[in-house]
Amino acid sequence: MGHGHHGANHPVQDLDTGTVMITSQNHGFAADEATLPSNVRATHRSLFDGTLQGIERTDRPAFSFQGHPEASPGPRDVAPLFDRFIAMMQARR
Amino acid sequence: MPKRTDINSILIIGAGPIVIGQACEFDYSGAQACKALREEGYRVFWVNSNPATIMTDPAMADATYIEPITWQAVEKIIEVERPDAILPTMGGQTALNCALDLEKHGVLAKYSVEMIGANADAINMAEDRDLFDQAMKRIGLECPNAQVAHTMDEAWEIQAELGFPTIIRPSYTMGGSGGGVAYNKEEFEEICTRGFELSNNHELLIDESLLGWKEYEMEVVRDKNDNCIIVCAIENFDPMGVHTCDSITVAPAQTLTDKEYQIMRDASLAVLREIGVENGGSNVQFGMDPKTGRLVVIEMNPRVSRSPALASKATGFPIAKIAAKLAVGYTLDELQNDITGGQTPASFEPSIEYVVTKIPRFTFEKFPQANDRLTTQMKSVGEVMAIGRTFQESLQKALRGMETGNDGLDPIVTEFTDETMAQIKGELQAAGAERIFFVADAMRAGMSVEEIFALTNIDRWFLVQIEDLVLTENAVAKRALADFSARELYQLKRKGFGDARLAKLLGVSEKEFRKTRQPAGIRPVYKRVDTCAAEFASDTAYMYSTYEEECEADVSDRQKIMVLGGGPNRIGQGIEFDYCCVHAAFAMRDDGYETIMVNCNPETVSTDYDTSDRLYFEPVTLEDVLEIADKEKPVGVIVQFGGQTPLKLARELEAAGVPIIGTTPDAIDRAEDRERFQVMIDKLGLKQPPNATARSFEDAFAKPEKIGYPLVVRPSYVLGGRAMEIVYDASELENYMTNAVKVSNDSPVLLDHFLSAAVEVDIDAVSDGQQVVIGGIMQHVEQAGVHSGDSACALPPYSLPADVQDEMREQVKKMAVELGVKGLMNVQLAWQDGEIYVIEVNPRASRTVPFVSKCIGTSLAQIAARCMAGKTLAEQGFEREIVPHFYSVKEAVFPFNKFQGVDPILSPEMKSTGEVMGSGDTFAEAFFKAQLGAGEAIPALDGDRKAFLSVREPDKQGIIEVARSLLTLGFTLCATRGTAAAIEAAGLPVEHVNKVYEGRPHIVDLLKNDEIAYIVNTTAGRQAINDSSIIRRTALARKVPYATTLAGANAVCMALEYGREITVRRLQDLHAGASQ
Repeated sequence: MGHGHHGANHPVQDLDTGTVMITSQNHGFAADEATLPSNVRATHRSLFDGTLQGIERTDRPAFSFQGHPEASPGPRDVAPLFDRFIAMMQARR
Repeated sequence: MPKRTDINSILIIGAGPIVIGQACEFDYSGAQACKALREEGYRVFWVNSNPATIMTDPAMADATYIEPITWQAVEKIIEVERPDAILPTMGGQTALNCALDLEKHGVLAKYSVEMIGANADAINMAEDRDLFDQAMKRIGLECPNAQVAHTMDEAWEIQAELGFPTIIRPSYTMGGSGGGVAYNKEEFEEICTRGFELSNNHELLIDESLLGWKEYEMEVVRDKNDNCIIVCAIENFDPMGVHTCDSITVAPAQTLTDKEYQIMRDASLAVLREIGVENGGSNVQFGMDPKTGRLVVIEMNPRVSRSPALASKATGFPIAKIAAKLAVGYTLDELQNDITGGQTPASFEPSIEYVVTKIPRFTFEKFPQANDRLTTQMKSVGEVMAIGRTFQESLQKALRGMETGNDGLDPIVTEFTDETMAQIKGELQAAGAERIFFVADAMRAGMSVEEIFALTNIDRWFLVQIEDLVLTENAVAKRALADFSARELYQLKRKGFGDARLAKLLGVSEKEFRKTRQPAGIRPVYKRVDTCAAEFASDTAYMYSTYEEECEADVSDRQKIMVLGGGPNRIGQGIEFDYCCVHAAFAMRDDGYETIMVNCNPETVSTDYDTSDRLYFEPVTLEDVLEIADKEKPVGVIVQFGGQTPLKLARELEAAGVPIIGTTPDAIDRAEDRERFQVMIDKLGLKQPPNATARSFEDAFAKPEKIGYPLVVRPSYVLGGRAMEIVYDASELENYMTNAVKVSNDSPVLLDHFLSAAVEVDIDAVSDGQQVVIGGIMQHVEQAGVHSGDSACALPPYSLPADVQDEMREQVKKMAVELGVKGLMNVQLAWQDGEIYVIEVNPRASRTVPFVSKCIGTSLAQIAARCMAGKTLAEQGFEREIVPHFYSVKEAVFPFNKFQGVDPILSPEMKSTGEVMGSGDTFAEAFFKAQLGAGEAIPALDGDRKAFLSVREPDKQGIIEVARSLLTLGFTLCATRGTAAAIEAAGLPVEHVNKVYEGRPHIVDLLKNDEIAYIVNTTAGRQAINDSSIIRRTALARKVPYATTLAGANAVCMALEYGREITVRRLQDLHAGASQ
């Protein structure tokens, strides 16, 4: 990355809903969106530099988010990702 | 989604005059919003009655209306301009109330105007205590246990449930007007009665007491897609019980854990969602019980206000600008934050790597009868903000920026006796304006943090910080300057100690200290305010000083002009001076200079980061200005626009080699020093009222024989007529010399013969050193003896003969040339019995410059700045005075209703906080509109109306004309004995009424029974003023219009004869005709 993400104030957009979330981050590398295989789609992008922040498998119940949704210290805007994960587990039970 | 295209034009409502609770932060936010909307291609119209604002500059908007902010006047504007939308969130409570009135009276529907930024439902829900309470319950948040009362009986019932102390707040008022804390039944009844009168809808909220709880504010921005960010979290140093604007506040919050902070963050977002603020900024206030951690929502404001202005300055995030763009449909992810040159999006939540401290500034010395304890009703008139790397540094910088004579935590109490300890404890428990100094004194007296906490409830974290400063000071005071190593001095500077404070502790001069510090290489560095804690590079030069290694100033080698601002607002030095500083910066930038602003007032336009090329948010003190000047090496420094604050630094700056441009400090001294001034007046063959200077108590009594009573007496070198009085005889003089001033050789007292019943005139002029052009001649409505800042005035003069005006012009020009004025000059003249007297000359920006500029359509401050930088008036094409073909009246606005028990009489001591302007074809129309804008009730001309007249001896002749006018206007008259006799002698009908000490029923009884519709009451002399003050105070409390000068009464009669018709005029159109 040209400039890493370090802070508790980074805006990330959920590409499906358009929602902007303020998140805790601390990373210096990101996956290049153009190199994603066909069974992986981008779900979140940084509003600061457009880098990839979240992906999802289209063929499997799996997703990932780069950053700190557990966030301490930091805002809890991304906490709903845990709900989603739990919901996915329950759906498969 | 991009901006809305279904609206093309937007009317923005301003905040009106500066009053306690609504100051120039609304000029700052309004100007920002205006720029933002015009940038997007919208047509923008303004209505604001306050001429001393940047937002009402004709170039700022497509059409500007300096008209009263009443729904009737605004309806007229809507009728003419037909805006598609109205933005009411930039003008404080005034604008919101006006917008709600427009809605209520169907005006918005009639002209299909949409309210943007906030809707009526959201405003209502946030402002109506009951609805708000229910809303908070719905989202699982607590409000203070509180209930709404509409009658006194209800109030008592609620009180019985909640116990004492009880907090009382009226709905729909600003700055906590009329609210208070009641500890007993008497106070409860008094505050409730007052509150019912002040509330728009006769509604009070009676709260459980949260005294001593921790208090926080969250500044939130939300867009229509429900994206929210927290711009800033502010913590109050003073716990609940002191209005947040009267509290020392700190950003970011210092004493919360991340968990607590995140809970508060989530809660504030939930509040915005529930209230339904869809696109704009809001602030949410919280209280937290320090014992249990219980969190309650105190209130939320669905608009830009004082704390968002502070938050913007504290973080660099332009809330008003972003809020304006959100209001027209943008979302946060579509906007860039231009403080980082567009590197960060607006959705980037600001983070800061420094501490911001705000300290309010009070002026209780102006209102000796006022209760000076801090309560839930706001009483401060200004504020200072400082930025430092630690709380200690920012606190100490703020303290020296206040300009109250303190260089840091200077002691108030020097000897600790039983009596002074009782005083200290009293001050700790019931906060006054200087509580923080008493905290330090308590520590010096050996009180522990726990003891102080028990009395103040100030969080121990803050107390420990202060304790450390006090201990450090004690250690410093025991040593000599020579004993300190460079390392030790550096550590002291890192804690924020000012040179002056350390010098005082070490018993050396500030200069000596500086001469030791600087060669040791201990110099400040400058850091940038960039919203992102330096995570990304910022090309905006918004800076503050600190003592560290790396300097981010990145100084250029361009030609620079530095403008020194005015520091915190106070009575006598306010927005007018900031207006001049901003215009100087604009003019110098246009002329190709790099402009540098130095100021520490967070409310102002001057401290907006894009007003100048470079902004140093620093105290305007010698130490701080010298360091910046040394860093930047400007070709010129402008000191004459910021009022007394920079002016008093002029000589020392000059001595230190700083290039002051414009009128020389020596010329300024020639005008301010009485003896030197007199020499000049004599040389030019002009007249002054007979006067003398007294340097001792005895001296003062020897002088009046030559001068003759009555006298105007005042200490030398004051602004705003501080401690200025008129005395009529020797006993009054004795009283004054004993109680009001301390006379000495160094601080002499000035005695002038008082020109009774003279016409007073203010003249602003501009000069390039050769040529002098008159900016405007303003005739005061009130006669001499009322402070020029408190008097209404008219431009052009409404009754001053043309030849007298010409003679005055000549005199002003002579004096300007003699003094070598380069820049602005203000002269006060009096005209009495065919003679012109020079009262005062100030070769600097005056309070009236913005008003004159609005009247003549030309910015005097810009022209003056260019003169100072070396451009002649001829080169600027400004060689002829512009005399407008319409009348404009400036009227002063007073804070009397905030200070119970204060006598609202006008005197030589300035008491007004703000001003309004009214324009019209005639003086009467202009005066009427100015009164309307000032909120001064003009007596209604319906029903039975009785006027009460009581005037002093010299006015007995003049009152007859007023009496005749009032009778013609359908009033019946009543008067006290002497006045009645004079009126009867003229053959006019009048009833007698008793003075208060003449037995009952007397005039105050009539007032309380609402039998009086208008009062004319003039008095003179301390005793008579005291005797009659109950009349004026009662009138104020009962909202009965009154005049305290004959000239004022005459003007009101003229306005009444004019009628009540409001014609609205575009400022731009007035100016187009002005130069013809």
